[in-house]
Amino acid sequence: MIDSILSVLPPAAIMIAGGLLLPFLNRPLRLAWVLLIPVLTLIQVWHIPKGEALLTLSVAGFDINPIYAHPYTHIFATVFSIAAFVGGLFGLTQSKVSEAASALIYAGGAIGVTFSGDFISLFIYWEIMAVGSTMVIFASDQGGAMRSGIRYALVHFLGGVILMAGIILHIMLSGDSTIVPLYADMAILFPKGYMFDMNGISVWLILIGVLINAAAPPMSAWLPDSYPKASAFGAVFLSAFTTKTSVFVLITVFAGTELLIYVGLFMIFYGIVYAMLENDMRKILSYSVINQVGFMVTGVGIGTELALNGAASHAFVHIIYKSLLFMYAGSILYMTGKSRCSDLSGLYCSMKLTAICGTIGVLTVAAFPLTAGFLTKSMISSAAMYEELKYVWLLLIAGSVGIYAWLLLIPAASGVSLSKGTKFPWFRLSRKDSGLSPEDPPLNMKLAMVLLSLLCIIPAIPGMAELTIYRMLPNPVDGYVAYKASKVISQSQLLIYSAIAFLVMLPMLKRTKTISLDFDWFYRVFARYFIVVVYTLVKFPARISVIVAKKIIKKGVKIVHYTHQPEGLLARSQPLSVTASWVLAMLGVYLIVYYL
Amino acid sequence: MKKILIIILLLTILVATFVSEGHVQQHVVFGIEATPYFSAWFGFLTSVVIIFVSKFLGIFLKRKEDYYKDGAGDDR
Repeated sequence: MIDSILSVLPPAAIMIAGGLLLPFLNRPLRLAWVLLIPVLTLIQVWHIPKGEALLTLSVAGFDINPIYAHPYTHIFATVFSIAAFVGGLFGLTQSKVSEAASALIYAGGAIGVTFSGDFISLFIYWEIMAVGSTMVIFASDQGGAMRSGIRYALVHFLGGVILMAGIILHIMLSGDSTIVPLYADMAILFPKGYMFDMNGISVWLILIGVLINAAAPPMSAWLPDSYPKASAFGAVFLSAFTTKTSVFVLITVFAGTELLIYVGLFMIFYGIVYAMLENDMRKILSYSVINQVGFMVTGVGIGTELALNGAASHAFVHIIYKSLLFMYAGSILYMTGKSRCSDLSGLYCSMKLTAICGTIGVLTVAAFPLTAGFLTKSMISSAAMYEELKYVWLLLIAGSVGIYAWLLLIPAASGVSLSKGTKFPWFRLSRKDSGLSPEDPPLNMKLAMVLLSLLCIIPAIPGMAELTIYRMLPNPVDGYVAYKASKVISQSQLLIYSAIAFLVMLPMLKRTKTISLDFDWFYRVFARYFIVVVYTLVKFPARISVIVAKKIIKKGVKIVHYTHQPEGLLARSQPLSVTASWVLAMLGVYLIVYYL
Repeated sequence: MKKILIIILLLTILVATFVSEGHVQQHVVFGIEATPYFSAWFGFLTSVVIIFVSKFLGIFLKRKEDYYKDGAGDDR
């Protein structure tokens, strides 16, 4: 009995119920709960077989399959559970109850999307995710979090509405809500060359809705706008789920859509350029999320088995090292209250463990050999190579260069050196000592960082990849060997020489106390001016038309009053004979009309 | 002392590059990859280009930190 119930229990339900119950528990129980729930979810994730609809509900004539494992469901759901666990551990005693609870609901929404067998449950979990993540931002202790959270919610609900419109149209046209692979291009939108096609519109709406969540430009600014406003602990969760859930949906639904190659490449360079301009550590990390998601989106666009494997496994590794880096920045923020590189210069030697973990995270972003990033990122560029997409391949290589070297400078710019003795020479180029000497953060935060650092390294030990990451992939990866001498050497050369370039040009990279304009300028500044201009322009005509309208309405009321007052034409009582003769006349007219 | 260390490090990298190039059977697919020391010069060059491009765009995109603040109590 219990077995049969357990077999149809959606993993997402465990996470969401866990999050909803969390605020009602007392403190010791709560701490255990935060760690226990992701573990239970992970166990349930692996109890669900691939490609079987375990639970089919029929709602309003549509089949709803909330527990259906797609080919890439397990790898994504696994890393989401890991992220929820480690994120929970990181903020175990420091994080607010509301934050921890909403983070669990948020994670549940993300896992629910990966297990959705139909578009309807996908949409429901999609919105749960949006609400959960907004609550995480609202729970922040940073200034401006409330307003930023509202902007975040507006963008995501817009994305949700677009997605919903696409889904409704798709279901109306096909009569089926099951998730099927779709392909979006211009030809499907204009099959006859001149007129919109309904099917094309539905596919494009779904794609746009998903891409907004993936932080694809032009709706990309929500990410660097909101993530740095979250608390030191909330940002860890935020960096893990939303964009990667989109990558999952793209892999499952839009694999091989050529447009995504260009969207992805744009995201890669957009992420680099903005990361180079920013001063706030967590903003730099936010832009590097977009950069890395760009690699995955490009992989989905290439669409071969190797490319999809690369996108999924890179998402897996990305969540791990990006959580690690947000923990690194969060630890510094938690211990010093500061997050801007320019405030943190000269902060050396006291946060040793934090600095080591941060460096491991940076090396993994860079896809340095012997880190997990090397195993996965090179799959995407190799896929581009096998497909003979020369310029895509070159751009992918170029894109992986810049961000690495820049991120290497985060520890440098913030001046957290490995130790007093081995202070790297370029650290001295950072400006005056900020006079801060914080210690490493509390034990649970350190534990979380160490755990993630190990996850960055262990799969990269030669031979371990097949037992860990590659094992979760649906397409066999037999033909792909990461540790080829030529690959290791060329990747090392690429990274070392780009690091040299950055060191040579370090004086040009001095942080300035500025922010950079992004697409959010359009709805934060331009829209305001636009409304002011429209208001001034229409103020006068509007007033006049209001006056005119009032007069017209007054006249109308007078006429109605005249006809309908007690002794009015239409309201006064008539003798029965008059009524009868009117009815007779009407029937007569009807008879004549009928015969005509 | 530090300068000497850096120079030694750079020289080591240079030597390693020369040595490794000949020893590896490169799997060449695109012509550009066959140019000598492709990874090295490509890595160096793209980094320089990226730095200059972002520096250039920064001229137009950078604003003061309180840019969005004007009366709305926003950002910090």
